[in-house]
Amino acid sequence: MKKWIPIKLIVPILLILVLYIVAIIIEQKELAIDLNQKNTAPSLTHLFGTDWLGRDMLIRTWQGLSVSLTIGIVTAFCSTIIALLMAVVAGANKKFDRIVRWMIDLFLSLPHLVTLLLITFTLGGGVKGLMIGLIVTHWTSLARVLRVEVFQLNNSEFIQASRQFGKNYIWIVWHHFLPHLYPQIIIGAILIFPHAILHEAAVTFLGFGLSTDQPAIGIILSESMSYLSAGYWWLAFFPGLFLLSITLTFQYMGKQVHRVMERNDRYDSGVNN
Amino acid sequence: MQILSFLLKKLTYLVILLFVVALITFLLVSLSPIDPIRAYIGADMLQVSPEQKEQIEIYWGLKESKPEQFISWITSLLKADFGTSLIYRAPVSEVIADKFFASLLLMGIAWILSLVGGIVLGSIAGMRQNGLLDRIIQLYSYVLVSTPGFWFGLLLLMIFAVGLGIFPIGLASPIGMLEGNVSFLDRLYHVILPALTLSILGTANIALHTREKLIEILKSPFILQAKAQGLKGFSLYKRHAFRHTILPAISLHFASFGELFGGAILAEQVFSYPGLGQAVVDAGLGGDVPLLLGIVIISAGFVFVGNFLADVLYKIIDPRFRKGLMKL
Amino acid sequence: MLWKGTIGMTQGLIIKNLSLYHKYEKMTLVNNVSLSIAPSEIVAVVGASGSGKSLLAHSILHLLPEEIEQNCEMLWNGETVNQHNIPQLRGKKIALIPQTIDALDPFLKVGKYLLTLMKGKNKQHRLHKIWSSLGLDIDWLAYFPFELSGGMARRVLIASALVQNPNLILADEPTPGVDADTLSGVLAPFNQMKQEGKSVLFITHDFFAALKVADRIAVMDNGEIIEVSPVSFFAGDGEKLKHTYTKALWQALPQNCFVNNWR
Ligand SMILES: Nc1ncnc2c1ncn2[C@@H]1O[C@H](COP(=O)(O)OP(=O)(O)OP(=O)(O)O)[C@@H](O)[C@H]1O
Ligand SMILES: [Mg+2]
Repeated sequence: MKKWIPIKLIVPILLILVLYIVAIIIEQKELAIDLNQKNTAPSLTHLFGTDWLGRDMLIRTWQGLSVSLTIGIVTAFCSTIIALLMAVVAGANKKFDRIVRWMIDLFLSLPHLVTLLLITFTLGGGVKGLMIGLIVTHWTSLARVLRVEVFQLNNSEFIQASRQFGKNYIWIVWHHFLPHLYPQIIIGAILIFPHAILHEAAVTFLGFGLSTDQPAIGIILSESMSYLSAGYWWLAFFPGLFLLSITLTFQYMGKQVHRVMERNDRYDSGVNN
Repeated sequence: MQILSFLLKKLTYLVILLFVVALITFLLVSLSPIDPIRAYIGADMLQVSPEQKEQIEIYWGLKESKPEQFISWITSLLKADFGTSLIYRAPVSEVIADKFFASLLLMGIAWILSLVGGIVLGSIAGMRQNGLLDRIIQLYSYVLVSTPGFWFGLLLLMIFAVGLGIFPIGLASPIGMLEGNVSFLDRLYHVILPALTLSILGTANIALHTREKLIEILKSPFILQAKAQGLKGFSLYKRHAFRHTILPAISLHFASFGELFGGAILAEQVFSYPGLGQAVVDAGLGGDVPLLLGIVIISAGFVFVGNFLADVLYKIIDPRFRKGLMKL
Repeated sequence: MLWKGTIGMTQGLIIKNLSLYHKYEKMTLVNNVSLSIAPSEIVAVVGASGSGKSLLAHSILHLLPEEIEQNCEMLWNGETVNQHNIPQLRGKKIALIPQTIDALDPFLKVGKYLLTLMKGKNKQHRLHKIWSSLGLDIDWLAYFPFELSGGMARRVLIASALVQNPNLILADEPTPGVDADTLSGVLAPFNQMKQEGKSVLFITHDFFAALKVADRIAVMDNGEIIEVSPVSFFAGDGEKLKHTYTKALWQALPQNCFVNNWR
């Protein structure tokens, strides 16, 4: 059967890819410090203006993006794996299910940002602390969705039949659960992305995450706070806008994938009938 | 009887939850590379003699084994004694109580405004499904959901405080004035901008949720019947859809106390508003473990209260539950 | 007799060539249905489950979901009925007794619900009159829908159609599971309406109830009206009936079983 992938999905994916590749390329580039060009407002030479050292804000922002995207990818990947594992474990038996539910409840019992701060704090901050914090706090909502799906699959007739044929749980997970769950997994992973990126920026902004010598949008924004009263609005405005467009693109991508999956699903069931 | 057992169940859950949260938090902090003495003494570290250092360790109970430390911490928690804050040099409970009021004012205003705004927007969108207004409201909500909250706060700060000069740039009370002398109006004046930030951001989620619920409700048989009776537009909404829509919206809003708290942390940072959010950041950055632990526990309680209210709300508004409860 | 009054009829409701088409499933649900209901007339619609009876009732009020495309010509008292003027007719001129008792708002006490539907003076008094005529207890006005039994809820729905004093009631299965004795009690308001020069479209599975109350009977099958006959045609062996399906329906009635004991 032919799967259907619309242009509306290809465009955001390409956009992110191009942004990311360019970001990786320019990341290594040492930014020229030009004290004659200190704190200049946006112009044609410096689209996003310059900062207190005369560095170009567009390049700085773009460099920050590469860190954000990398962190987003790793977080989305690892959190999705955790979520899947949790759901599969919960599906094994009632006792495990209770434990998984408790774990989810536990993680939801603290404000997400507080959990993040606590974990990055105890791990001593930095990329490592931030990353671990992000990974262990972003799996809950997807795990909840997958848990319910696994529960329903477990109760379905064909799984029951599989059981009766003596297939073990791992076999069933591999051959039945994964093929059924993969749309949810993909959508879930995509939607973890914007959350993770926003949280990364927030934690860094608060001073817990990435260190000040790293290019990061959170750093740029917290730096900009000192210059707000001087009226240097571009220091905050453009980097944030850039970040917003990235998260929006991911939200949009998630929505489109959802539609494609739904549509292919309908198409599939149409064929089967 | 039913109410009692319900409350008892919730209370047990809370106690277990707080205990587990305390345990995990304690474990995390114990494993961390942060040296509490260094954090306490700060820059004077070099001037402290080993004897003094030891005295401090004994004073803070750092000589005891980890389980002993945990037990003594937990028992003092039960006595509502959270220890002494290193950076504020005051009992944690006092610091929290003081900051909590400021945060509560901020979060309370934001909570109510975003609820009302979200319900209004979501209802308009839902009643005009696929119309122009609906599209605008949806776009608005999706953009806001993806917006970095602190950046949005910075924008408002730039526009209203720096650009237009209508609001103060920071601090819940004017500089040079003692906390106690701050008039309520002054407080209100300083809380408006951060509260506005949180409210506007908060409407998005509620609006989307309300819209979804409303569309679902508009498909139910009693709405079809109301239409068959000749109702339409606002009177249809008011009579048959309103209650059904606000119930899940309010419930969701209670259940998102955690996000509200997180938003407040960022907003307080941006607007230099001295509440619990700023305290937790200072505690983290300053290595003030007792204060950090205290705020973690308090925020867990805060989230629990939200979830509890969300749960109870259904039971109060839905006549099926209400009647059941009254008959007891 | 068959199309009593249709030609040149100015009062009542006329439906011409009603077709319903499901846009997504690309399927015709109701095909070319024509029917008229004159003042002082009760027309019963009978047919198997899924034959399109409820769709017919909903399409008269233009209440079908967006995915179903409706094509027809409809006249009410000589005037064309369309999407724009139907809201003024709904409830006040043409009321619906819905098939499901979920149609009661679970958050509203039934008495309050009925009162808000009414206009003019003496609401309370008028409501009580209708209420007791349906054999309902005054105390039940303070009940929430979930506190009512199925039969009580159904009578509340009948009351909700009656309170606005409409000229035509579309009753979608108002009598399921009602035994023969109580049937006449529930049917009384319809006969009363007929006395007052009003009309009823009586949708039912219950062929027996249809024969008892209706002037004409329309038989639906698979989205089409295959026959409209006056009740007098339903007699004896059913030799006056056109369609074999109708005949089979008639002969399957318990009291006719001895005539034709193929069972
Ligand atoms: N919204 C809808 N979407 C798709 N199909 C529909 C829809 N509503 C009704 N149908 C289909 O139209 C047909 C007629 O439905 P309808 O509800 O009119 O039956 P009915 O004669 O009232 O049956 P019953 O006696 O069981 O109430 C059914 O096959 C049903 O599946
Ligand atoms: Mg029906």
